[in-house]
Amino acid sequence: MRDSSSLFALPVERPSRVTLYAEHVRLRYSVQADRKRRFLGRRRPVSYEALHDVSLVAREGEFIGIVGRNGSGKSSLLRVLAGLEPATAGIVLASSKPQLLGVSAALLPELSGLQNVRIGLLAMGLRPDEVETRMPRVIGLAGLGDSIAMPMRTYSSGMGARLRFAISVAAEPEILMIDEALSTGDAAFMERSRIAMEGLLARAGTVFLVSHAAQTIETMCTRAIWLDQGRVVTEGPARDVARAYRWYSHNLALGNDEKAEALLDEATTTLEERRASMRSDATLVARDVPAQLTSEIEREVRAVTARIPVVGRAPGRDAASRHPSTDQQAG
Amino acid sequence: MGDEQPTSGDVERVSASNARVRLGSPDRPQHWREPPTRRENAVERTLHDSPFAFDVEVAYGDLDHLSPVSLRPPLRDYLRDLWQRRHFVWHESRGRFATQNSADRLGGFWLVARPFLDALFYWIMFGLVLRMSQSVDNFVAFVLIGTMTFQFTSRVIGQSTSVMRGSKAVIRAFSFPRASIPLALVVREMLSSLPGMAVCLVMIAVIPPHALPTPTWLLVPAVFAAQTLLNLGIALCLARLGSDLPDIANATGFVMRVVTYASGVIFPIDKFIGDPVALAIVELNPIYAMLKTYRVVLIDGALPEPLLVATLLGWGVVLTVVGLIAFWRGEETYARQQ
Repeated sequence: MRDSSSLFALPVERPSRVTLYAEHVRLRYSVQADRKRRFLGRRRPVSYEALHDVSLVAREGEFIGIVGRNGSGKSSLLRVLAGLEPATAGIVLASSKPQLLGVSAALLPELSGLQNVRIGLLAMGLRPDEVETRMPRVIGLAGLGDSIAMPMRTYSSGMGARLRFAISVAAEPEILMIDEALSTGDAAFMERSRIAMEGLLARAGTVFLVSHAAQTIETMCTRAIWLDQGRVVTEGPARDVARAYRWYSHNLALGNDEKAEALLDEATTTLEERRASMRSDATLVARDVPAQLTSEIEREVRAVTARIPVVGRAPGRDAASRHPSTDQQAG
Repeated sequence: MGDEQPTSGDVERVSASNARVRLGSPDRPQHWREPPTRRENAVERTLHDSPFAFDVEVAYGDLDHLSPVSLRPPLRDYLRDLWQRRHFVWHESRGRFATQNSADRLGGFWLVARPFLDALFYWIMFGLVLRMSQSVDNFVAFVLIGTMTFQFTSRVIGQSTSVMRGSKAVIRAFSFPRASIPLALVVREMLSSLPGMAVCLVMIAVIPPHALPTPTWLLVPAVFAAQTLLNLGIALCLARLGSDLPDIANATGFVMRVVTYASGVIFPIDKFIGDPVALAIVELNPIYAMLKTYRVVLIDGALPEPLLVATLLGWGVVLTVVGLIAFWRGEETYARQQ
């Protein structure tokens, strides 16, 4: 919360902090492609770029959907953002270690669901006494009934996803990333998981959701990112992006490849354009700056702003010039 | 511009980067920042030169509270995290130990029955059929101790090259110090070799010529602990190697056979070797030292030579330290897709 003791505090709501920041992230795999090979000769590895220069930022309380075709880099992006896979280039910063919930096999297939819950909670670093107090809630959220005592290898994919979701949410992660895992759940579980995620967002968390169903993104998320061939096509309010994507994939499904291509081009926004729109909706942020520093800072900010190659209508200056004016009110 | 250090009270020399940090930092003293480490410094320099970062900071506040997601912690923090996960290691290994025979009708009975049948086979083979007791007085006890205690080490060697790939689901799902995985493997195999140890002690006392309990039998838990340490070192090294180079798994069968004969599991290799250099090499082998220590303590009822103990413990400590550091250096690689 705001530091109320500050003399220069403005009566402004604290804007939601950035929880995750990724800049110019690239991910390059080198894989053995299926090609003709010489006898005993090593196949030449083929380089494949799964992510190409992805920059994005996420804040508290944001529910970010990621849409895109198969193989567009959605899952790779989540793995890099979660720190499971080091990016080939670029930086990923986060306020705390993200919890990624992916589509995967059973955790410990031979052990019962109950034991998987206990071991999972311990793996996330909870103390044994915390584990015991949280166990009932996890079991309740998973809602598996008597199956919780069965070995996890007997679970259907939907049951496995429910259990893993319940474990992941129990540690109250600040950043939760869900990769298609909810798509196997039934309606009752979707409702329960929605409530759990809203609780997480209310506690200043951030949720990422990858889904092929643009409808899900549209109804659940606040913002959406459209990926294609490892690049960010565009980002913006979930409704707009999800609808643009649905129209594009609808045309693709009908075989109107040219029209789809045109739609993709039309939707594409560059990083400079996205930066410009971010600057234009910049709210007040400089709140606790002592008045005697404002002129100093203003000069510094101007100096730094001047170094930025500005595209288009130069909104950077607008954003920068706001700080001094608000601070003068404070002084 | 590049001045990252705080200059207390000197407003004139505030750098652009410091000014940016102050812009949206409500819960920190204005003039002080933690001096950055080298790795953080590289990140900060990137952020400092980045127009995107600048826009984000202007729009949404500073990025000072963020830290890199895939940063390998310093070794000391890593060990502390590992200690913090001890309950995870214990529950994971105990759970898998308890269910490893769950598919069998007789369940846990096999934990005792399997080593008992093994021991029976070795007794009939070497004690009754072959009658090989020219070189060693109590050859049955020699073979039983060799095979039964070596099982713990051989199972760890056999599994550790593929343990990281086998645990990929857990590694992907949760973030914890990955060294917990080979550690849990050693704890699990330690638990499952306890019944075998008990069977071995009973059998060598029962089968003629009886090796009856002597006061030195009290040292068996200490030798077992030294063996566990050695196995931990082996597991850490092989887990890292097997994760980087999956080909190693193909060679384990061959390596295991060489180790079996070079360590004198069944045949007293030191009796067959005349060349002093070759003998010295065999005596440097930690598994040979371990088996010999067990035999001295159990059959001869004597204290092991200090050199023998030093070989066993030395290898255990060196392999564990080297393995831990090597494993820690690969920490970011275990969750990878390929």
